[in-house]
Amino acid sequence: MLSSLLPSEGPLVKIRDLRLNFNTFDGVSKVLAGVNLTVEKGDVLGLVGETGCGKTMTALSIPRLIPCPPGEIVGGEILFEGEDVLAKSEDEMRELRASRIAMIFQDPTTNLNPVFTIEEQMIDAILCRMGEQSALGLTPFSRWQGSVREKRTEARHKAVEMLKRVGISQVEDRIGSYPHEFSGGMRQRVLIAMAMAGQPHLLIADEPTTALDVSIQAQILRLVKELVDEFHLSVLLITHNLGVVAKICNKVAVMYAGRVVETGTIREIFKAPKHPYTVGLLNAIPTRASRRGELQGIPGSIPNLLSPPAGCRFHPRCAHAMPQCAADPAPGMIPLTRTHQVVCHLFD
Amino acid sequence: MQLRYYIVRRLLLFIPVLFGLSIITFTVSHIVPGDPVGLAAGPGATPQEIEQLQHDYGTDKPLPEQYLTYMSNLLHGDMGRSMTSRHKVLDDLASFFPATLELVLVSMVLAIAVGIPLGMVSAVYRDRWPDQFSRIFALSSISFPRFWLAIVLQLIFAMTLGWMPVGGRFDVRQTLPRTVTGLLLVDSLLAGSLTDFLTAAKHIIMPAICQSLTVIAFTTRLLRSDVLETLQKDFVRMARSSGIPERVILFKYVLKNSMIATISTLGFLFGFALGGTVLIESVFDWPGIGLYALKSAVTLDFQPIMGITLFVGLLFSIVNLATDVVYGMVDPRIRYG
Amino acid sequence: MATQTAAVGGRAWLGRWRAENESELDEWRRGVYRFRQSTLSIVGLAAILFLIVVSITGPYWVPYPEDGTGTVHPAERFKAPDGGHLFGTDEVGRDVFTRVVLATQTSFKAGIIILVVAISIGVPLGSIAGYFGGRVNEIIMRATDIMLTVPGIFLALSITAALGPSVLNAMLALSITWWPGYARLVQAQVLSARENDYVQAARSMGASHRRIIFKHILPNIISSIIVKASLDVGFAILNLAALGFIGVGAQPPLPEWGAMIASGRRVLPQYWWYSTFPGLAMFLTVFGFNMLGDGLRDVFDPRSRR
Repeated sequence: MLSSLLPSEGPLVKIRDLRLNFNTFDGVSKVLAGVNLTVEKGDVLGLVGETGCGKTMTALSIPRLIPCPPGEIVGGEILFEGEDVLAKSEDEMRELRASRIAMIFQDPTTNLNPVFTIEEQMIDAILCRMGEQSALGLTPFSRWQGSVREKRTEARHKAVEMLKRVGISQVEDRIGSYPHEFSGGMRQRVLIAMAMAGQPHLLIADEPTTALDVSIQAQILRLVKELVDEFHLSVLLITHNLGVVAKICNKVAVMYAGRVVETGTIREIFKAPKHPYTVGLLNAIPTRASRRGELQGIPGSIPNLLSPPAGCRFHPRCAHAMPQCAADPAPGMIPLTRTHQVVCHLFD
Repeated sequence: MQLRYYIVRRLLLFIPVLFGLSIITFTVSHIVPGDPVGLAAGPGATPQEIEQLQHDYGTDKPLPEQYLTYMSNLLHGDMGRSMTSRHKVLDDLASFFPATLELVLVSMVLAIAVGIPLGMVSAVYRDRWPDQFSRIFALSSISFPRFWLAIVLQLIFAMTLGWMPVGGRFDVRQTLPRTVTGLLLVDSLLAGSLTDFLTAAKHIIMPAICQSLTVIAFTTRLLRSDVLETLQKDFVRMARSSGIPERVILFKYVLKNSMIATISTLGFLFGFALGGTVLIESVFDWPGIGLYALKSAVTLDFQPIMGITLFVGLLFSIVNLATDVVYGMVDPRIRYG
Repeated sequence: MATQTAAVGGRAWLGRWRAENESELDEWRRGVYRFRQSTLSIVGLAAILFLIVVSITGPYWVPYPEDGTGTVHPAERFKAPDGGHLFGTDEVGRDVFTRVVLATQTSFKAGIIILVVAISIGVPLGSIAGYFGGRVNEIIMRATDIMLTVPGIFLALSITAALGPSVLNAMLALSITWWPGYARLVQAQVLSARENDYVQAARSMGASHRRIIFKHILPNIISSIIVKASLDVGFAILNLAALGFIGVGAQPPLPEWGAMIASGRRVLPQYWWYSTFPGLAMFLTVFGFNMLGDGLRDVFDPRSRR
């Protein structure tokens, strides 16, 4: 709590030149090849890109939730509120995840444990967020201790309150249910309640609406937006849906094949995209103008990360490719404005 | 309420099982080319005596009639008589079964107590030395012929070191505790005699270890692969992202999921252990139904074997039903429909 | 000229076959790679190959081939292992080494026959039940379940009680108790394979039942049959020896591990070699099959992959 009262200096999250490999049977897959990303306090940053471009891996590397092995971080730096995440011990990381980072995931069905009640799972999560792991009560016997019971009751109150806040009705009747007794949208609400039960500084939302019915998507999105305003959250929203980005984000980062290729404010990216890939991505959105069959895709397909193209990874698909794009590695972040940066030889 | 219907329905399914089992055992024991009656009568028997015996056992009637008689007797709780001991098979079963039950129960408890921690360790230290160790342990304990291991243990701990009795269920010089459950470990405690308990424990420990090794191996491997699979699940990542300590994730969230899968195989393992008793009981001279079956088989005494096979089959069905019921109780997703 | 055309046609066919089955071939290559990564599986495979060679060639090079039968050498009774008798001699002076080697053949033959019989009963029944479903499935699987409720060894005891003890009857008994496992495995797999999109597609295109079963379903479940079979050979050998041990399997003078251990047991601990070496040989065999099977499971089972 103390850290948030201190005058803030520097960004909330700063990822510098992050390199992540996956060691698979077919060889080393270079999933992240020098990711640079900054989340300022108060940002709602949308991280967009095609499936498999490394969005989720980038996000998961902040709370260090990448399975290692097979994953291996081979270079770079992640700073969270100025602290070096990669240098922390397992226990410090757990502490950090419990107190300052919250996550919600894509599929609410698989993210709740099917054999525990919602109540049990929420109480455990809330206890950790409160810093009371000792009251988790691993054995049934520890439940008999007065202090443990007290803490759990307290956490239960919090759980009920949070469930009400995320819009679940008749909470008292339903909190003892098992996940399979809830609908998909309800489960996602439960997960959001679990995530928001502490006072997280950063919310990482990994495609939170993709697995839901279209009619539920809007509700969940609205809920996230409300909570963001209410808790003054900074958000890293991962999605491949630019419509969602336009609705709730103020900044965008575009990823392609393991690198962030362009970042900027919503206005900058949507009105004046610079990177050829971003341009292609925006052209691929169906709009009124494209109704008459002028919808454009990006030719080619995403590269195989086991043997990515040399130079800029986008050059085989790029209409503006120059000889140097295939020869030289892509440049670093080239600042165009204070907020708008691009990684492309065109702007060298 | 639903559970009661489920159990009743499963119990009704016992009827075809019983029918099928009795046909199997009856067929098997009536393809006899040998002459069990002649054998039971002894070499000096006159043709009249043999005829009399054949009449007594009904072996002079046509097969379908014999089967009907057998079936109707069975439904009246009559499994026939042993030709060698002249005891009723049902009585023999009642006196031999507790020994087997005790042996199987102790070995199952041992197996679970060792197998589950070993499986967890194996999964947590995947591909590191504790896992390799437990893998080799599991593989070699399935591969060891159990009866051979039993002999080796007997040789070392009973014959050479003299720490354990060679065989049997209890010391012949001591008087047995009063029979309540038939399980000596329990009866001796009920009688309040610690010496008796220790004697019984000393006798059961080696057979139970031999008996449990295979089950330990199965449990370990099964739990390992299941824990590894569960650890990949999204809800584990979710729990980690909430800052729940790894220890709690493992022993609470993952273990319960994996245990459910393990429980569903307990019935099978129980049946497996039951089959193994024949060998173990014969090596340790353990007076259970396995030894009884073996002795009957050697003397071509088919009434007891039919009885035992039927009994074991039914027992196995009951255990399976019990497993399924327990499975449904621990897994909230299962609804008895 | 004609042969050349055939050869060219053959090569073209091979090329086409390769191209068509690229993904399966790739899968196999990965499988082989994974198998080679696992030391234990390699050790298991090596042990099995070694024992197969021993079991086939054994009768031609054992030191005392006549000891496989009921010969008697009263002067040689219970000799401790030495240069002349590597594993010592038994109660009638026969060479234990010779008998252990010859018993390898007994066991391997029996193990393989049991499995072949079990698979040729279980797989067809399981496929039919799984594929056609409904009442057929109900009848077959009920029967299978009933067979499964009898622990094999008790049924084996009844059969030997009825037919008299011999290796052949023991094998018969084990085959009868072994097929339900395969029927169950195959039924479950066929049931889930049947629902696969590509099978549905084949069916909607009017492919015959035969074609669907052999072309689309069986190739997909063959791997689990192989894994189960490789583990089961070891267990079948173990069970056969167990029956021999309790006296209802192989009968003297046929060399068989279980029976040898049983006779050796009577003269323990003095003549320890008599039951020790057959036990070790058996352990090696079953261990080999188990390691092989475990390795194969890692190769084939997508769940154990990372």
